[in-house]
Amino acid sequence: MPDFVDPGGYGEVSGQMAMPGAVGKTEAEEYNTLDEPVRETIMRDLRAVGTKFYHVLYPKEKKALLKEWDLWGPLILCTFIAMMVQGTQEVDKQDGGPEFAQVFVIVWLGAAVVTMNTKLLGGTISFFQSVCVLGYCLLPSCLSLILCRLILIAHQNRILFLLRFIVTCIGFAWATFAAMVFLGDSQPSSRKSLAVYPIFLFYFIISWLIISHSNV
Amino acid sequence: MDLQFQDFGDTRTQPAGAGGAMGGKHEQTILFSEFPDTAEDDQEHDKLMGEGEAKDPRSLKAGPSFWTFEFYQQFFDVESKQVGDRILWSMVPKPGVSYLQTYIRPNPDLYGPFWICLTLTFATGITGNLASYLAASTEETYVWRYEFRKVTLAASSIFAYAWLVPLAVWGVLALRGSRAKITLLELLSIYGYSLAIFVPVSVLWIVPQPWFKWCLAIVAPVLSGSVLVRTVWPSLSHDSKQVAIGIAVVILLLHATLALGFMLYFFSPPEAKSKNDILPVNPDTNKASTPSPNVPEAPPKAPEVEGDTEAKKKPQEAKGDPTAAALVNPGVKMVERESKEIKTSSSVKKALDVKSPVKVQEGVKTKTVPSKPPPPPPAPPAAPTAVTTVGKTEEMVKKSTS
Repeated sequence: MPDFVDPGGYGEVSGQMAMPGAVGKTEAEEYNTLDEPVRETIMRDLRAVGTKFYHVLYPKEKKALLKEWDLWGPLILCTFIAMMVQGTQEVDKQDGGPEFAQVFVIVWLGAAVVTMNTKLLGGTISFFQSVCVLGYCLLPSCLSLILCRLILIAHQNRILFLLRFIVTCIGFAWATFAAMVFLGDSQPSSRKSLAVYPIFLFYFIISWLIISHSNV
Repeated sequence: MDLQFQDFGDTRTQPAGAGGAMGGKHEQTILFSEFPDTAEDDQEHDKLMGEGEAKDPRSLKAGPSFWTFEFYQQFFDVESKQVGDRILWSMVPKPGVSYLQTYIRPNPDLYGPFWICLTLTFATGITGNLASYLAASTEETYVWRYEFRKVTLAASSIFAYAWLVPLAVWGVLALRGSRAKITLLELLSIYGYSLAIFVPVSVLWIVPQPWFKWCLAIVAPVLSGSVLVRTVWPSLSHDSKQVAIGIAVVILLLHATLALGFMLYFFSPPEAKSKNDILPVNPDTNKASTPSPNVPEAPPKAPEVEGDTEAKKKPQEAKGDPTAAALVNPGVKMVERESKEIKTSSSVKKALDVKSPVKVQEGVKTKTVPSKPPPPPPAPPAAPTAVTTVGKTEEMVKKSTS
């Protein structure tokens, strides 16, 4: 008895089960990440950093910064602030400002300490996510630093100092608010202010460094 | 089939606890003491009992291991309200209440001490900076300078105080064999919170009145020091009176030393310095050229001048200021000014304030340099030398007029 009924009389039918398209796709993916042009890799990272900057400036959606953390943005911001704020090296013009390394240490160590505090209080956020958020929220402070630097071009008097003060205050408040939006939910409400205060202190110190920078 | 209820007696219908309440004759309390024996229940039972027993001695010691994260989490087991209370009552000694028992005892924490120390570091750094800026702010040329190295110094001294002194006190108490046990953690907590009063005090120290600063420097350590001493006192009560009082005095002294150190290091010196700067460079010398050459020269010369001329003269400010102002009246002509100078230089020798006449004459001297072409050679050397003795300036003035 034949085990195969062949009503149409086609004969033996055979073929491949695997779809040729699928095999080609995985190969294409490997091509994308390993062999893609360098410009694309950089652009992808830059786009990620840019989206995160956008979310810091308009902190409505909370997940954007937390889901995929990266530390490029904090590095760029920290280097920029440290370069701008460091004191002069000339001996006769010692203005008592911090060194480049001191600013770096303050930012990174400060972010680490604030994160450790959040975790010790029982927060549910991971270490690098928190450092990422704190670093990205330096962006408003950075913008206020740029504005202050522009204001410093003019000859200084009381009014301009007041203007710089206001600009720095706005940057500080914005940074603290943005960080609170992202990090606030990770704490039970009875300890929320305990977790927020270190963030406040961290941005306060950075803002003080920014407003104090006045060598023209 | 006939259904019949079998009579088991009254006891069956009465539940164990309610037997008495219902007033039943046959009371019977049924104690459930035998559990159905199944293998799983036994294991669970043992596990629960086993864990319970094991947990108690473990939690009495430092429960989780030193190397895990949870070990440190137990030091941060506080609520916001608790921290607020602890800060508030560390500053205000409440009469009938032991600060330790009421506020710290259930769970001493390290959150407060750490963040208060850090806040205090930056508060003293920033407000000290502000104070020196405000004290010298009458000068138009004074720019905001910040002193970052003061912050690092503040950090080391505050953290050293907050960690080493409690360690020392705990060591002393342990050595004396005190019965009322204060643990090291509680001492660290108390000391940390006792520093909280210095944060608002350092903000108030910006006010440039010396008597106000001294008031604060006395009141603040007295308040928080009294809370400290009252907290430590019960552990000392079994000791001899002298030792107890001695330790209490040492605690208070250390606290007061810290306060004084802050005040003197961060908030005093710029005032003393700026007095020299402000007085001669008076706003009524509203010539643009006078302040700029004066300001860099004036500070180093001032102490020199004081050294030399103070020995000779009695400073009398009342006389000095009007003549100085008259001397630098911008409406006065060059020649007139110089003649006035000749006249008043003798009175200057006798009665003027040490700083103002010399500076004024110096300013006038530098004035004569651009206006009178003939004596440029004598004038520049005259300017620095004139500073040292007043008599010489008289000669130079005579020379320049002739």
